[in-house]
Amino acid sequence: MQLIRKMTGEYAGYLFDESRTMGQADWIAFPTCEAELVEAVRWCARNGVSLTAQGGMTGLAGGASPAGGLALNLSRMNRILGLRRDGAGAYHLRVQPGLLLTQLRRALAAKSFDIAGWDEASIEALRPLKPGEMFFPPDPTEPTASLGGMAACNACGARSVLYGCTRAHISALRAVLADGRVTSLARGRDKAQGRHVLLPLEDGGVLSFDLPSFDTPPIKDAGYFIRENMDLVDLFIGSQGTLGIISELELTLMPAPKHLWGLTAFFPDDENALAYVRAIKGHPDPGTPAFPHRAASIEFFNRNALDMVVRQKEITPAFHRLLPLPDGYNCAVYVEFNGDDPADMPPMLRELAGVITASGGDPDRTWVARDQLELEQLLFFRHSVPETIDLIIEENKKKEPCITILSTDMAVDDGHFDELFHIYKRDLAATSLQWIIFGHIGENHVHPNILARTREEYEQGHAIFEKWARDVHRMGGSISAEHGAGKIKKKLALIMYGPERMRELVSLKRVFDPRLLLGPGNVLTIDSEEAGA
Amino acid sequence: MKILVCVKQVPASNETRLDPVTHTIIREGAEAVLNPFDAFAVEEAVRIKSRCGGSVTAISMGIPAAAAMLRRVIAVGADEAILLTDRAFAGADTLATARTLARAVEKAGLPDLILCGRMATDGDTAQVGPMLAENLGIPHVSDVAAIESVDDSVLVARRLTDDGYARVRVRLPALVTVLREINVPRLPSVSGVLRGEACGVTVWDRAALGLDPAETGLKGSATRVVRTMRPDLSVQTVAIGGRPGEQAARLIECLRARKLIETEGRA
Amino acid sequence: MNGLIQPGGLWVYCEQGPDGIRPVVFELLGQATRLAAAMKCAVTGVLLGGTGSQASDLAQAGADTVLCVEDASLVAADELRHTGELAALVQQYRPAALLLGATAFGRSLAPRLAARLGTGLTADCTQLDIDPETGLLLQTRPAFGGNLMATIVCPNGRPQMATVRPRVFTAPRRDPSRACRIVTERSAATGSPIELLGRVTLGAEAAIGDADVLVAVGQGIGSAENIALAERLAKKLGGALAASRPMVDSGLVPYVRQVGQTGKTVSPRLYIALGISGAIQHMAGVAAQTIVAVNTDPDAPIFQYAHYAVRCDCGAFLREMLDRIEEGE
Repeated sequence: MQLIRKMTGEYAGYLFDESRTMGQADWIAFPTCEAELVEAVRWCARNGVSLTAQGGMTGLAGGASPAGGLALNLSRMNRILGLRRDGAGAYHLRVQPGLLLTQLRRALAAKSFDIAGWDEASIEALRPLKPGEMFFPPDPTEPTASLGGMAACNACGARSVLYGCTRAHISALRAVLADGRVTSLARGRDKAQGRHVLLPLEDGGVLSFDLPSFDTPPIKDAGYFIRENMDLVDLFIGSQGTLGIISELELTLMPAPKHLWGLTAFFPDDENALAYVRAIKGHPDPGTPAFPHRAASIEFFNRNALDMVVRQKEITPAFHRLLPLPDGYNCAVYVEFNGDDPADMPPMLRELAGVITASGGDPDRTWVARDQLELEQLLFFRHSVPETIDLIIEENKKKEPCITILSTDMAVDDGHFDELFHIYKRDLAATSLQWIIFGHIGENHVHPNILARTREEYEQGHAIFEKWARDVHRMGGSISAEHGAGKIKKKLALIMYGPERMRELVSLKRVFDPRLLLGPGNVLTIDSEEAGA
Repeated sequence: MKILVCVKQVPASNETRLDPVTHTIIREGAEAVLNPFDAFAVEEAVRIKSRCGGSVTAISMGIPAAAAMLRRVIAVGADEAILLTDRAFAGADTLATARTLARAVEKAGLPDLILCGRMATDGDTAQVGPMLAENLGIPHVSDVAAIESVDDSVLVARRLTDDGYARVRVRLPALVTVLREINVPRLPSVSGVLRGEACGVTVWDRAALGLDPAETGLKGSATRVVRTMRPDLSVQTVAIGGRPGEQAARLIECLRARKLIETEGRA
Repeated sequence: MNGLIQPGGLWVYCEQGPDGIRPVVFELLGQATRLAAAMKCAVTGVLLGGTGSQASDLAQAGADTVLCVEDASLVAADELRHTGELAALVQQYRPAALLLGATAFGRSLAPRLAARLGTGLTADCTQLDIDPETGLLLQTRPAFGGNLMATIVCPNGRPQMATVRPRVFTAPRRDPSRACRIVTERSAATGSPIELLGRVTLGAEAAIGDADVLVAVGQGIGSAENIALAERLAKKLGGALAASRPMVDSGLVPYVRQVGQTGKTVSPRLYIALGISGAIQHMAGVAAQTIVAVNTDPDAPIFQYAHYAVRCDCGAFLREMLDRIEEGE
């Protein structure tokens, strides 16, 4: 089978990601191992062909939609390669970047590993592992995301309130640079000296360069990560395929909590929901009882989001199993707790009942999921929101092909969130657009989504996003907490970094990729483009 | 109207696999949950109660820890719960289970309506409901997709048959087993869960039911498992590789050669 | 006691549907003939509400005797009345074993009857044998979620009762030279607390049990759009769409199309499994001549059953298949 194939109609499905950003490509490759990946990258280097890495194609910013050249599809690099136990007893799993999160979860839950090709040490490390004993915490809502894609944009998802983002769970990685050379980096071992970097290469060479002079946002950010004395693995995590192509990841596993439970509470108004969230996060308003427990995830659904799902339920048989909403609902907050003892739940629920009441909710108007099966009902509900957006955008796109998903994931710190939330609402309410707000309120990055129906609405949506990017920049936040800037939010990245810092980032890229072949059109605004724009 | 609903605790997953290192069978870290089919029976019971008034009693045979599951049933609207638990009940087949349940139902007082899930996901036999009805001497209607109407004396149901659906009217008391499509079970509210936690579960053992040890559990079972084995799955497999287009073409060729399809399309 | 039917025989319950005796009865008779040879006994078909004229069909498939309760009102599927009739016959003639089809009605009737007789019942057997030492009926069925097969016996209760899903076994070739004796009994003619108010027959397109070609979709199908493509392919191949349990549970495909231990057993000539992992609960319902598995997961268990293994994205595969097949029209 030929590695580099002509892009033909049968591969049309590889031209766009979940955001529905239509890309184009002349070639496509499906490497199955690092050697083939290197071969594909070298072929590009030889021929001056640009390339875009693809994993599960579940991104929401167009990062995997190719912009000409080669679509480098890593879906066939989906093996689990080995297991290591470190001195502290933690498990580290080596995987190829195309492995899907759902495959990883199944393997860990059922202890189902194809160990052909594993070394002895890995097999010995696997021996005592019990099914379901360990898990990989990052939980982007879409379980068919690939681990490589999650690393490339430092995905985080709902449970990062408790566990942090993908970055926090990667202990080592291998990456292929634009010239086909390979680097192998381990957290704690390979670090910058101040802002100077000596990046070791497998062929014995070293890439010597200086990091940009600034630090990237201190809050959750899906983009580049720059710090003094940083771990070099973090250069690649979040760089969205612009510095190198991740060819292998070592994931740090965590002991799986034994008891997952959650509840959705309905509130008469957004302000009640915000008060509830503040209390859950440990900052209760006066008069609201303190809640000393840590949630694993806190998710918000505004009225428009709930209405949208209710409408879609009438049309889509797959949503038939969605729970009927309580009468007179307005907005809802889902909170999940990860614990080890089911006996902890009732006293916590008693405390929550107090918090819900004090926040203006009603403990009778709640859904409690007490075990895995019930939790799946709540997660199904949560997942139905982006699924519905997908269905609607797919439909709208038939009438106006330029339309893509317009979802933001801007993040600010606790002190600025309410202000940002009110800006979102005010700006959207002033339009005639269809919009919803839902998502990760626990980490101050909800997803306002604009469901554009026409080209004008689509452009209006982009304009609003740009305004918000300036607002968020002013608050010291990030324009993308988890999805990455990709192509759709590239302009927002420029607003956040500003032209000066953008130039420094482009210089960093040129160290790795002098001919700018990797991930064209993603994140970075190159000077010439800026001038031309 | 007095309604009784039979529930069972089952493992959340039945998946069994071979350990990749030791090649021994491992059961997935099995959380115990309410049998999913029973959730539909519970929901239907609670809905009928809210329409017709009356009470809902949940009953289960299982290990002492199943009391937690019964409290969950109370959380979504059942009024009381009975747990039948005794070492002497262990290893019961469907016949012995139904016998034990029937004795407990008689002790609790025959209700107007008994609701059961279609089957339990750990056994997939769908036998206990009809057997229980027989032991109680009441009629049963299996595989009910909708309860169209019910009052103190008569119930009209739509049941799944081999040829479609049938509408039937049955005199009460009767037992009904329900399908998934009958409803969407609610989740409990915070208040409901706290009510369940505060609620006691009645526990009856073998002696309380006045059953002879020879009538219950393994001793009271008519069937025995004599052997288990992993099925042999080996088949000669032809792998069809290539790009999707090539794969489709080759497959059409193969199927045509085996006279499995008759299309004339390009291969 | 009628001398024509000896105690210790092997009985097959001859369920009737709207189109006469159900096909599963003939499949059971085929097995019964084989088992009866090992048990050294005769095969009796029990026909409630039938007539002697239907007996020759049963004889040609292997019944030595047909025990007929001639009461037209028994044609209606009524568990209580059938339990009463069968229990009376069993008590009179004392068969060693009784096989029933695991149709919806059979699965409802058999446990009721077993409880009345106080005997054991094994549901959904996929294999039946006679233990050469004890002479007991060895009843094998998927257990523990299906990854194990369990063999079950009923040492003391009589008759030993088992249900078998339709299409698990093939019907024997009819032997026109075979005839049988007919024994007629009177019905107990009791009333029933259950009254049939009406029937809704599902459309022919839903009848996956009879399809020659099935295109079945599972969780790996990818999208609702691909389900529509799968259905189109099924129609082009003269077959029907089927699905695995998760697809039905999630409401994407109606229950009548579910294949597997908790759905229908199907025996098409060609079974194209798209995005179906191949859990044994599903495969327990697949008795296909040829299985094609399409899946991106190289480790999917379905590939162990497949005659043709296609590692491919289902959407891409479907579009390519349809392109080629529709072009040929």
